[in-house]
Amino acid sequence: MNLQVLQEIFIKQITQFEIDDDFLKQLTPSLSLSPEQQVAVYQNNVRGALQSCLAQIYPVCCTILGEGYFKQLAKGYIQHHPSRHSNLNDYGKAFAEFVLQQCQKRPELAEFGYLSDLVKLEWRYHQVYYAKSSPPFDFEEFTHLTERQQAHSTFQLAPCFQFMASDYPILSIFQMNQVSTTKKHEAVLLKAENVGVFRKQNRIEVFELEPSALNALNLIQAGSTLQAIVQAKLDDYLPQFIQQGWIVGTEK
Amino acid sequence: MSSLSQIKRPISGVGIGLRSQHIQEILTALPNTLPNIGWLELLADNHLSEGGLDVTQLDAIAEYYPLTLHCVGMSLASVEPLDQDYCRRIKQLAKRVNAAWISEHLCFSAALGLYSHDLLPIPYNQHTLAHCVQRILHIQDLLGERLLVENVSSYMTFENSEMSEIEFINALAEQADCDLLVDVNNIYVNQLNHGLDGKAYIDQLPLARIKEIHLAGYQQQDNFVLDAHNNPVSKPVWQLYQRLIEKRLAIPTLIEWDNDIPPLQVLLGEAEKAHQIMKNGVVQ
Ligand SMILES: [Fe+2]
Repeated sequence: MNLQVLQEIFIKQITQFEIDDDFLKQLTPSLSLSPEQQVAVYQNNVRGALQSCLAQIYPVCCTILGEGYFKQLAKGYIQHHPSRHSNLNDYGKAFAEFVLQQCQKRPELAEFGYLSDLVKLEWRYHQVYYAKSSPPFDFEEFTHLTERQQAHSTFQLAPCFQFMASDYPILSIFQMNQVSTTKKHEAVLLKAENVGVFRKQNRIEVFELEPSALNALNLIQAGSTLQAIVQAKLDDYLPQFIQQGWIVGTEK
Repeated sequence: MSSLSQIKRPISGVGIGLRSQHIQEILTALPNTLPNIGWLELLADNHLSEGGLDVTQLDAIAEYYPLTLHCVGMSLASVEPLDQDYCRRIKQLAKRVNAAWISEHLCFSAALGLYSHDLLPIPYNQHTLAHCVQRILHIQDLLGERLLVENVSSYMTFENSEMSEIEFINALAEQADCDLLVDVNNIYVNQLNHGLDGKAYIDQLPLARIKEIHLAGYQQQDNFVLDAHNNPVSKPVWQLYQRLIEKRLAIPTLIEWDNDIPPLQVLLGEAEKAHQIMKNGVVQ
């Protein structure tokens, strides 16, 4: 077996958790491990690394479900989602979708309807953590545009700003389950919460967004022009978003 | 940036691996640096994102500590095309934090676009050797400097290995003209798992090429030991370390601890032990 084939079968076995008999024939027993056990050591290493990675990205989900159950859930995800990025920060993006499916499949998760949204929020937090900072909005450049150009401008949101809508009190649940929280025993009101996540210098803020602010952000994200935002009567938000650092640029 | 800050700062004595759990404590102490800690090693892969909280913290730390970069993503022995973008980003990071050198493991980690995030072993034979030599030469061209190549812990033995690990490493260092990072715990883990002779291994190392030593703790499993980096350095590893240090004193030495990370004081205690051996040549 040449080096290329050997490496390809090796990686398939340990990321897709199968055993290949031809590969086993390339191995000799070591002092303590049979060929099958040798492969199993690497399968466990790969699974363990990805389980820890998911637990780090989704600490609130892990707290709510308990470490043991979370690991089991993560194992199912890892089985079907091998890592395809050299950077582990990119792993785990589809976990929210997986959790949503599991909540429908597993009776013990039936009461956790909000879980998938919580996972989405934690993914946004993770993205904001690693996003690059942007220079502030260039007002001077904007004022040099003609009125027509301004009307047709679209706006760019900062990579270190993310938002989402939810039908659940997702912000309250997120905050209640932080290690440092003082809100542990407060009752959660059963209301929908839209959430924004923003990194300001060295701090990440997670906050509620009123429904109309969410509408404005949805328009901006969809690439609506200034004119369209004015027509929707949501342009009052723009100076505020710019000042907060959520909007960082325009495109003509 | 002034031209002076581009001069690489010398690495000497004992260092520790910088882990996120300790960053705040280290930052709070600045401008004072930790006692007896000559330098810090970054897990380069954790610092490749373009922005983030880490970046500003890292810049602050880089002002006060000499740094080295330790990578896991070059996939040195991989048959897949080299990830040139990864190498470029490593080079940029090294420049930004003024890293004294860059190290990577003798293993592969990816194939077919699948990533193991683990250090996967290779058969030690002439074919693999020739491949690794070419690959390291290419990487060194991209980085514009010598790479430090580290021996790994392995849990696998290949039918078509024709030479011992130490023979392979000697030939590799010679032919690729690379430097070495000798992980003494990895040697001992391989001694326990594969029966290699750790002392003979140490005696055959090309001393002049060793730029750095790693010390870490392993974890006993049912029927093998795992290089888990979650324990204090074991006594036999200290003894092998002493054997190496006696041959060439003062090789910069790093304490690695990656899982179940203890308070910073525990790492400083391990560093102090290495310091004592460096100074007095005695295992406590
Ligand atoms: Fe190491």
